Amino acid sequence: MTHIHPTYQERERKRFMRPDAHRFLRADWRSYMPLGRRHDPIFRSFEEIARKYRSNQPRVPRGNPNGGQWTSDAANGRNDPRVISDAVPDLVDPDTQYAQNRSRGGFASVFINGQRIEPTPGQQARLTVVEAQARDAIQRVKEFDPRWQPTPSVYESVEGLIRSYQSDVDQAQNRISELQQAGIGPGPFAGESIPARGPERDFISGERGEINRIGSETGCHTCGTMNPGTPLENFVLDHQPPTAWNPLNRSQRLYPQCWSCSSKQGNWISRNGGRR
Amino acid sequence: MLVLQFKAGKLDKPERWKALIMYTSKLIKPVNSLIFISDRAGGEIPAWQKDKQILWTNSCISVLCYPEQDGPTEVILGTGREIDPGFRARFDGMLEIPNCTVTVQNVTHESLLSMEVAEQIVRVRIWVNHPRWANKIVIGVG
Repeated sequence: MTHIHPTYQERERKRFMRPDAHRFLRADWRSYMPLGRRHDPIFRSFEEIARKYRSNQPRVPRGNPNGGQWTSDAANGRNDPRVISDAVPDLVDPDTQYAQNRSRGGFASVFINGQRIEPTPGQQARLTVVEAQARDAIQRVKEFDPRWQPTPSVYESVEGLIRSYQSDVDQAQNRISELQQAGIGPGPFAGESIPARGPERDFISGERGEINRIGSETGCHTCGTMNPGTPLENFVLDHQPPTAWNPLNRSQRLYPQCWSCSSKQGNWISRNGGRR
Repeated sequence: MLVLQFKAGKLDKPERWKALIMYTSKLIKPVNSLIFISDRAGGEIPAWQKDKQILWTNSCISVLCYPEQDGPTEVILGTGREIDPGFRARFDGMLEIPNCTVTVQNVTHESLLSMEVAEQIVRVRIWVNHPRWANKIVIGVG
């Protein structure tokens, strides 16, 4: 009989276990397990199913676009700054020749320079995570700047492909930060906002009062200052997305903005082509 | 005819002023409280700097107006010799105008005021009535 590596068997079992597998277990299954068999693999397996998740599975930390999601990066998880769990990840021996992966989407194989390359399970997991992060980050940029594209990277290996996706994420986040600093999109200090009646600037006193109230609590949505910088100490009622920079014609909201950030926003919009 | 009447002393003072001074003006509340003075085809917008009322490149000048939510700004565009208010200009420099039409635009490049000039490089002087929150901006060309 052909020997199948137990690590591979364990991995395959995890891959194909149904998310609701715990429903197949009887609630009193523990009473049928002898005390001496607590270290038996079947007991541990049942425990895992009953818990519905693995307690030692690393997760992407808060603040990350995929924060809170499970990641199954077996190869580099412990060195990945995004992973907050210090539990020992599942071991996948890189030197072991595993059976052919059954593709269920994702990265069962990738083509690099016309060659089909099989990523390791750890690489597959990292590719899936970083590709999703890159897609989300680019999508967020394109909401305000549809013509933006990350600079393409050249790569010759799976690790290079992963670094390429990570580069896309970094570039997209830098672009979002740059846009936010220029007043494009709700800034890092954005708190409450009120719906804009339209792109017009015929604001009513109620809107002015509400924006001044929000501004006094959370400050300028772009820089956070509590000082509007205007002679009558009124915050600027800033349309977001800006009327002159609303490529997708999304509905607008009003945020408090200081006079300095408002002029910076106007300068940026004018330098970058104005109304689109 | 007006010049002859002026020389002959047949126009009283206010009428003389109105008849002889060639300028256009507008009361505006520009978006982002910002206007740009450039050729009608636009120019190289100067990079933003914090707390700078007037910024410029060889082909474009940006001027901060009175904050739009607090009130309007009167912008006056005319020949420098005629609309010089008599005190030192806040800005005095040369501006490239390839199409010989000086325009005042807002951030979306909509023309607010314009004036034809004879040369492609003209002297521009700007007078403001407040060092930070000017609600009267006088732009003298030539």
